[in-house]
Amino acid sequence: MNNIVQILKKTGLFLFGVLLVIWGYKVNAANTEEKAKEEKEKNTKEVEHPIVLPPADEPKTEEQPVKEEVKSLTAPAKVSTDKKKAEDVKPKASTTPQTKKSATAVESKKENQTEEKKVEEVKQTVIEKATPEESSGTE
Amino acid sequence: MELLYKAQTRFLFHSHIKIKISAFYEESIFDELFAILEHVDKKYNSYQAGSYFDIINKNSGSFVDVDKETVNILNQAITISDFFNGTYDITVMPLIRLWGFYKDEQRQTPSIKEIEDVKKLIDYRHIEINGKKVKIKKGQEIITGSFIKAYAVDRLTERMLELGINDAIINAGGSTIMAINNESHLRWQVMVRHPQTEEVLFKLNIANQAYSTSSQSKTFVSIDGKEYGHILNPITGFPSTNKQVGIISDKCMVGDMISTALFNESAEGFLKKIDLLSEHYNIKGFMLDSDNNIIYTQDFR
Repeated sequence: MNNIVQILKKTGLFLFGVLLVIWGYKVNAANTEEKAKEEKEKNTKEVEHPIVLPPADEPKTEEQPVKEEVKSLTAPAKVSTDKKKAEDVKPKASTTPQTKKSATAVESKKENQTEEKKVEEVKQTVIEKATPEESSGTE
Repeated sequence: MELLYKAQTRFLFHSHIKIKISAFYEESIFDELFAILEHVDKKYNSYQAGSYFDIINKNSGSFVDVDKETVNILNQAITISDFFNGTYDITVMPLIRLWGFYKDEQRQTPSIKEIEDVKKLIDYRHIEINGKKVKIKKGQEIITGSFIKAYAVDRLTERMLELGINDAIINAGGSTIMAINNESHLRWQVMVRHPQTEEVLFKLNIANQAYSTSSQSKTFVSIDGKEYGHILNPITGFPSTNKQVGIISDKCMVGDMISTALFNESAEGFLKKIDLLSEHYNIKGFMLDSDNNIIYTQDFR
């Protein structure tokens, strides 16, 4: 009887030892993972900091061009299709000079640009292949 | 194995700018890359209130404190202007206003007298640089529109290479495209189309090079039924009649400046100027003139 108790005790101790070792491994793995995460976050922050280079805080407002991106010694001009759209939306009286139509086109363009900006704020990433890029002189 | 890329497009410099990098990179890197473009936009875009060039313009006639980068930008612009004897001139802004290419300031053909009066203000040689101080003549105004986006892309390219990104393409509004290549991806293809018919004119293969294009077939003001393109000749005061110029170069800023400058050339002048420029820059290009003639350097195709 005593022998059986002894054997059971030894077995229990052995199993307890095994459990301790397994638990130790698990705790160790969790700690390592946590450390790696912290380090990664830290590195990301370190990289981001020098990039954000805030210049003098000036609101960009009135001096915005209509289409300043047009690469030239020029200011933005309108794209003909935009003009057409603008004319469709806001037809002018026949006495209105054509110059007014152009102004409407500019307004329309501005609205479109604001909308585009809002859309861009989503910052959507897409997966693409090495497809050819289209060049264009319109933007 | 087909290469895959992550691409993000954002609206900056009033154009859609796409950055396309290897799919291995995390999405968060785009914030860092676009921040570089935003920084240039805020500090060096003449249209941005509070930028160095805006301050120079608003204080014309007086010296203004600027940073080293502004001085470098101005020196590069002046070098190109010198080469083209003023047919490229960053002080052309008053003429742009006169023609109504800025906001809605005018929508009628300016008179010869008006043009002549405004032309008196246009002369890059009145830009004075003294260390980190810059002054322009009273009434003068600098416009960075012909190169600032390209300059930003150059800065971005430098940063990408520092970060080890060596297979990527940046398409800034279609008019400035920078290709970055490594051994696993030897070249990027760029499609060049006729600005009116959309017919493919060239399929370019570029590697670690920039493609810059200037075109005005779709960008013009309409005055009394006649269309005037937005690229002005500072010497004549009138818009150029050419349709498109495309330049392959090593740096976007140089390419953009040169493509704008060459817009005011004749077919013969175009080839001659490229020949002369080739002594200083690694460039090649093509021109589509007002009669739809395509002129290009031998090595362009």
